[in-house]
Amino acid sequence: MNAQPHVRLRNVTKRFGSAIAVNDVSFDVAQSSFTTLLGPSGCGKTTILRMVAGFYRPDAGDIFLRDVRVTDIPPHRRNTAMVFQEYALFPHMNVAENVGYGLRMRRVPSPEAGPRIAQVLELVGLSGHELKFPHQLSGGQQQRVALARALVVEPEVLLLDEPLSNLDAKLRVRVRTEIRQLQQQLRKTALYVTHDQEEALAISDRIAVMDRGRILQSGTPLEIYHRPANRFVADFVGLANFVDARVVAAGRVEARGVTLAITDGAPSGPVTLLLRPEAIRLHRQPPAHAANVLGGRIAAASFLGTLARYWVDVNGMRWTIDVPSPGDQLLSGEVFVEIPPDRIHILKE
Amino acid sequence: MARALTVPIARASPNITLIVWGGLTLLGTLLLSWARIGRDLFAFVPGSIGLQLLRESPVMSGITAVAALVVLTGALQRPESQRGRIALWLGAAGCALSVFYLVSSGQPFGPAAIVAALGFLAIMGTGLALSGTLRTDAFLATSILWVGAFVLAFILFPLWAVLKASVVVKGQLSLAAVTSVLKSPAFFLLNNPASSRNEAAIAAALGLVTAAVVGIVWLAHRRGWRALRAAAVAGVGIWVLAALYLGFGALRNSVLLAIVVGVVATALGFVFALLSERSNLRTRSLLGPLSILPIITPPFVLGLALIYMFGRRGFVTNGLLGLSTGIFFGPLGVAIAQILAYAPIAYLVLQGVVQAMDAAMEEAAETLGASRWHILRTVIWPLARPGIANAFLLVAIESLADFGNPIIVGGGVPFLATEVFFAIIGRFNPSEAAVYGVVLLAMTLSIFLVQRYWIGRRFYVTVTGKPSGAQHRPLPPALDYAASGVFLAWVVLIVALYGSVFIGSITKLWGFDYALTLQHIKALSPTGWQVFWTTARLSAYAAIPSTILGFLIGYLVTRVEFPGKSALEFGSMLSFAVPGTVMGIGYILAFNQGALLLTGTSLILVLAFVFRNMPVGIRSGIAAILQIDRSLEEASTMLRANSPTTLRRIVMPLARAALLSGLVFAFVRAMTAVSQVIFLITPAHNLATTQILSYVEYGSLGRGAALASLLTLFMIAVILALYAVNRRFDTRTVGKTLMT
Repeated sequence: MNAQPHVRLRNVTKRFGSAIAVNDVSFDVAQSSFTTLLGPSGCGKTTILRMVAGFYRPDAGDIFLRDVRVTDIPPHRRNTAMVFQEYALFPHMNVAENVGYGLRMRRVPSPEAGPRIAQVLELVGLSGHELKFPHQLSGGQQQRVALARALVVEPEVLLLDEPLSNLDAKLRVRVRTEIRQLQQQLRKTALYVTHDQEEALAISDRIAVMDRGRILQSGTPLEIYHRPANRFVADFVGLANFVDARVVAAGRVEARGVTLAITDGAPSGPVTLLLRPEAIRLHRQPPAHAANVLGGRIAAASFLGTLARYWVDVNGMRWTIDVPSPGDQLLSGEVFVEIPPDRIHILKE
Repeated sequence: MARALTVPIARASPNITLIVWGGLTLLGTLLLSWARIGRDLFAFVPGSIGLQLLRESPVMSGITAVAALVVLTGALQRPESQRGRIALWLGAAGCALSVFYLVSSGQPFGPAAIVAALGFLAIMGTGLALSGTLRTDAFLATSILWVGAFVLAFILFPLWAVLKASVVVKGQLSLAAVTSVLKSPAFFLLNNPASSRNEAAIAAALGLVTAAVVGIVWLAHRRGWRALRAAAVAGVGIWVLAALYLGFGALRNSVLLAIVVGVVATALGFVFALLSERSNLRTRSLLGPLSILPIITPPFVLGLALIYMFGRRGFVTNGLLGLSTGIFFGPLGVAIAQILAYAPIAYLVLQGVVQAMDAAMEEAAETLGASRWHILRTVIWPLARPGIANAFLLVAIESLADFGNPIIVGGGVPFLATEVFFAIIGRFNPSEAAVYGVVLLAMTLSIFLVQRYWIGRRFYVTVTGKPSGAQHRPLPPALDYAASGVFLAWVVLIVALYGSVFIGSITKLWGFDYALTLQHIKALSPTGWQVFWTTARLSAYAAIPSTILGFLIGYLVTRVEFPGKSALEFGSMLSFAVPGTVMGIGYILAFNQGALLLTGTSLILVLAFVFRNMPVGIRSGIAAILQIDRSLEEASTMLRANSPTTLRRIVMPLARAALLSGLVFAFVRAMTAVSQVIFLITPAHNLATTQILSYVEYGSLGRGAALASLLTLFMIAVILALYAVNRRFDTRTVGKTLMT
């Protein structure tokens, strides 16, 4: 990766009327990286994407592509390309015309444009569909045409605005893998917007989690998941059990009269513990040589195929606990709950 | 594929747009004629081109210098924003100097003036875009300025001229014309001195009694200020109605007519709308074509037909019943003709309303135990009420503004729209005409405002929520049969009336000698045919700019943000609410002298058509653009298309159907227009509709019928051709196209 960021936002603010959509956001997209803006609807992620594209002008702050300030450059003069949520394929043009539109606007002569269109269609696996019209294609195929149309103009930065939200669940997983592979193969810088945390974890090099116009945390998927900066991020990405506790000594916290060993360091005082459902183990018998074992009672259970999800009452709290590869029978009744000390994360707020 | 491309930076290279516009403006001002002699716009006037004027006129030197500076600005290496600001000021200076030159010279403008005006506005637009004052590109910024200038010059300026003429008499500011009209018995007279009763007292008494009765009844149910308000509203309402009924004059006739026609046409329209959406009977298939017919036929046809069927020698009144009556000449005849013509308008409005009603609501009511009659009363009627008010107001505007029917079957009874005409044509009094025009305008405009901002808002509140896809409940059979009966009677009447005009055109002398003959059709040669083709030609010229302008305005209004947007939208839709006669006298008052002299040219007819029918284009344009997902345009922009390219390659192809029907209806409306052009025609440019009127006025009904039939058949052929070309066309989109 290049040391210089490819896209830079510096203190960017955007208002719509009195509502602040993006509030003093600064962040970087590294060269050739796949960066995702993740957040609930209305958090400002699409606004950021559209500012990078040039559809909105920031009310304050600046946007740079490499070291060029593009804040005032209109969309059609920036070297970015966008894949839209509804694909935005031109319904009156066939696949080849759709893909070739950007080349035509750049006055690429047709002897050169033809092979480039063929090449990019092959890349997305749509060779042979050149003469079809968008309405004759399936949702996944339309999605790929939209991707090909954006890629063929060799944009510096590829912008994707929830491109998978119109596909059904299985197709979504397949297409997102394809998008990721293409991006890595072409080493394109990609900025991706989604509200689907699983999608963001699966596809990204880096994720920026947003809420109410601000970026709350930016990091790799692993960092975001395991070391969330605050309760919102922890809650939005993955499932979370929160436990109010106090740090009583180095390596020891107390929660509702129970003392737990931790490896995460924290100054003494009140804290919130984050326990991911899969970080907690369930036992029928009390495990030997284990720290942090508590008694619990299963309140409800749900079989999800690859795992079983239990809701367990522990010391007056109800925790969600995932147990991988469940056998023929689900657990019930009294159980023992083990929390490995290194899987307890302390939220510093 | 991964070849890195550089980001295009704002280059300091020459700006082609500025150089081209500056150059064109310079060439136009130097080489074209600034003045013209007589009516021919393109006649070359020696001694009036910019090159020759340079020596004698310092202003002309200034204009040329400004244009040259624009070229220079475009060629110089300057940052775009700085260049934009310079262009903006130069363009504004050029516009100001050109206007100053035209006004001070006082000669009718020539082609150079047009080039200068458009050129300097384009330079301003480019400046606005380059400097970043408007966040659009040069093309859209220029479009905004051009469209704004057109609306100002050809809609607002004529209306201003009418207002001015009403209070300026012989160069003096005076209310003499206003007071003399308002006091004149031809305008409104309540207390007739010739009658023994005191009409004013009777009306006031009726109003008071009503107020008292309503107040008491309301108080019995509910206490407080609501009873007081209801009493006041009812009292004033009855007082006004009684005064109108008992009074005399054009105001009384027009308002009563509008109320009656509005109520009856809306009721018929609602019945037809229920039929078309809910009927189980076959008759509903006739609704589509028959609802279009009165809209595409010239306004005289129904009036003419009424004379044939119900006149002194009418087929029904005289032929069948042996009467010789003039009862249909007057308000009754006008009302019947208007109801027949405007019920389809109400139908098209209400069809949308009935259609948009969610069937799930009715199903819910039904599961709660409501009978069908009950549902009609408690669900359909309340939901349709805003739509019904809307239809009523639209019909009322049409009725007030109507000129064709009152003049042909009005039997000399004064109406506001015809008084405008007679004041200027018969009494040669422009001030009086202007006052009548202002009164009429005030009424239609306030109805338009109520319809647009009060009813229009309520409309959308009722039609929200997702349609459930449930099937509409059919009408109760009794209602279905009754409504179908009403509709069939209407169909029979329409067919008989149109038929009588067709037969009248091949009948020797209607009412006396029904022998078939081709003499009327032959008699159309040469004048009738010539007039027909002139009309078709001018209407075709007008249809194209009104569609393009309308579409452009529709695009600007829906997709571009700029200051003054709502003013532009309002100004451009205004001409729909302005009665044609008012716009007509506005045009003669505004374009009769000085630099803007246009009367007597065919250009003024085309301009009148363009700005009269532009709202049709705006409506159909907006409807079509709203159907197009905005991200399609954004995708095109991202792929580096500029806005004219996006319009041409993406928006226009996708809006083709709407553009085509907009074009056809602009053409049809121009062909059938009367009121706005009746003051503007000259013997050299007579139009088909006014020709029919003069045939009828001079007693050659047969020739009038022949020309009217020709026109009607031509319009039907045009619409059928549109059907054939445009398969997505249906009566509903037509209705939306035509409605305000």
